Amino acid sequence: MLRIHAVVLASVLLAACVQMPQTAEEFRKAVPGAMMTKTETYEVSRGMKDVAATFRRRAPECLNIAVRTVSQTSTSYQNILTEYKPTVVVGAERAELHVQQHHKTGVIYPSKPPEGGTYIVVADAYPLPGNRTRMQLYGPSKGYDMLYRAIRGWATGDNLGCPDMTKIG
Amino acid sequence: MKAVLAGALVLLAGCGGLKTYPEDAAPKNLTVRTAASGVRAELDIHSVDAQCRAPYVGTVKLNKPAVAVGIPADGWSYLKFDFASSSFLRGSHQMSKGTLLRTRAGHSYDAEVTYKDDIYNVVIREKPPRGAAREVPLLDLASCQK
Repeated sequence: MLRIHAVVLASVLLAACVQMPQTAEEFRKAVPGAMMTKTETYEVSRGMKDVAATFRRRAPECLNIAVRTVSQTSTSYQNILTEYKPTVVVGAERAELHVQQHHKTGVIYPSKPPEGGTYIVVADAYPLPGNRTRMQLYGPSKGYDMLYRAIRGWATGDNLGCPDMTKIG
Repeated sequence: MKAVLAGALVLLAGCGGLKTYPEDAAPKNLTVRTAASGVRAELDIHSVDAQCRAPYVGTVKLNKPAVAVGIPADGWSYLKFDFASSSFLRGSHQMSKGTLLRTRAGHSYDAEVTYKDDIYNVVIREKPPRGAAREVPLLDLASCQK
């Protein structure tokens, strides 16, 4: 139960501490100053176009899902329906993967979330010389490790698997 | 603290009663190769009729590196790969990945199923009697209506 509370808390913390980011760009700016968030940077030995193509292929299949979490103790019952929405935006300067999360039941938002849900992770891929790509990620510092690992696998091309979103938290 | 259920919504209704998929359902045309750690992997098999109804037929436990299954040829089936785990601290979890599969007579099918470090993958390839195998796109049940 505490674990689920922590997940919900983390996902709406940005909204509670600052104005809820309504766009991916607002999310990028909010993360560095928010609690329980992190930025992560690494390079991969693949071109940005290949990284973008993998995002386009895998993100809809892996992240366009809904998860129901039910927890029960002798004194409480919690039922949360969570929908995830991935968006891939590819431009000349970078490829972006946005992951949004919307708790349809079981969570009260302190302010209106953006269309599609609160932003939980934004991953940007920037081209580097030598057919390499720099990845810049923004998101929660805890509870979403499998999502970060999946994005890294897609970026490197080493693992095209999907994150088990039931394990969030 | 006792989490009793955390599951994906892709679970189909009406499959509460688990039963073993019949060994003699059809000639073996699907080989499921599984490499899963930390979870129990199972395959639920549903037949799919012309109205896109998908009654549950049975379950195959994916507890061996390779399992051969017979899926009736020349028709649609719905295959649901389940990855379940449970522990006292983390409760119970089940992630499912389902796909429609149209099996064709004379063809064989190979499913590669992996789960490691909370990352899962399902890849299905179709092998014609002659020629190279091709990867089959995974289709959710809703696409049956289209």
